[in-house]
Amino acid sequence: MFQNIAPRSILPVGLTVTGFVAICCLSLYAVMKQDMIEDAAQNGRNIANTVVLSTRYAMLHNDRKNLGNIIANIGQHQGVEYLRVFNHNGFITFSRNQTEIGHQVNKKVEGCSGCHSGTKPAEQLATEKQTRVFKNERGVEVLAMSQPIYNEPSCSTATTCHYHPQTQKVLGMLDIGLDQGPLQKSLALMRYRMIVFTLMTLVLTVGGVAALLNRSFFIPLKKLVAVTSSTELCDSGKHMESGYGELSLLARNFHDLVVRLNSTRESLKRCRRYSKEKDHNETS
Amino acid sequence: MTNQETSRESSLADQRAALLESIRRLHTRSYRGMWAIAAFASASVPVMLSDRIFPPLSPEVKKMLGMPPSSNMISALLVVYAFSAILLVLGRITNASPKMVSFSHISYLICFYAFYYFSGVLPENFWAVLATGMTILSLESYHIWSLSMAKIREEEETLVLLERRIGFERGREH
Repeated sequence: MFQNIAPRSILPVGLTVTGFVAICCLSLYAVMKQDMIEDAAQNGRNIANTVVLSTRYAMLHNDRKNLGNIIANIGQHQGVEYLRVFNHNGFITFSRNQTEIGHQVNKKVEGCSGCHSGTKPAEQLATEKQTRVFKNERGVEVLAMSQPIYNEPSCSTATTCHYHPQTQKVLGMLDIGLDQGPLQKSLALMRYRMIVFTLMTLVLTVGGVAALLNRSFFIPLKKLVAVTSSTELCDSGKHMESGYGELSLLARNFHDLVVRLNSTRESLKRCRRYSKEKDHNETS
Repeated sequence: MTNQETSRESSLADQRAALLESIRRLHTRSYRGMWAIAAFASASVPVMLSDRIFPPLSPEVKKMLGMPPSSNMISALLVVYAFSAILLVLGRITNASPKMVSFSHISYLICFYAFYYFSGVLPENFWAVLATGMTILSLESYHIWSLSMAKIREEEETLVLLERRIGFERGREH
């Protein structure tokens, strides 16, 4: 296969184009996926902030019924997998799912270990550490955000019925989980479109290069090979038609060379015949 | 047999042995690209399973290493690297340069794996680095293989001529 010039010319071109397009598409897909996940996380953080701000008034007045209603209503929102509030000790105080209220959360799980990995829990958490992705028991991919509820001057100077000491920095935690299904669907669609686009680009590029090479190089080269290998050439004087550029010129030069060779052969033959006849005449 | 004839024959035999040795060396050289691809593929297997094999970096190590570069920056660098490396290989193919497959590409690619790993985005970018490595090393491998094969054909033709000459010399002696 690699003895022919066609595969030897097309293979590096095909490999280069295919490889580079694949590298660009894979890198682009990874960057776009990262951007979309970051957008989704930002969206989740905005929702968490909205919930914290919406519940602030009810928290200050220790209006637990109102607080429970806000959490339950926002939790009904499409795409929200769960929404809950823990207190300082890790007990769930409010949740969309009423059955988990009063349960304590394991501090060693991924969402809590960011702050609770050391002997003393961290009071501030970096934004990227507030976000985590996991699969829940139903197999749904969830993007979860934990938003700390910090102590404010108004909390520590509030009325005696609802008071938090100033030394307590974090009052609790709002934990929200968003269904990643729609994002995964968008990513799958994007992946599919990129594969189709890449394949179309590759077929067009490699096919185009192969067609051009075939038309302007391989076909004339085949003709040249056929013309120069022909045994009839010496007698018929046929040559390759013009229109193939340098290859036609090469064929014509080859033809001229063969014509000159034939004429020399003829002259030699004539000379030999003449000398034989001369010898014959002299002996007789 | 005269001394001159003996020395001529031994010189031809030496040339034949040198040609055979050269052909053997060229055969070995033609597969060097394949070895590079195999080495890169072997290095990529543990990288692919990195989340299962390597333990997560401790906060102390992360602090020591400092802030990793952003994944977008590494990806841009990867595309620029792939583009330049492919151009260099194509240049070598055009000039029929006999330069060997550079194993340094494997270390550059492993560096890319490491950067993505430290930035925490290796699973998303693994295939991009793999495609880069396979493209560059396949092109280099193809270049070295085709160049070696062309040289082998040349050497084999010379060998045939030499063997004919050795046969002729022996015939003349008898």
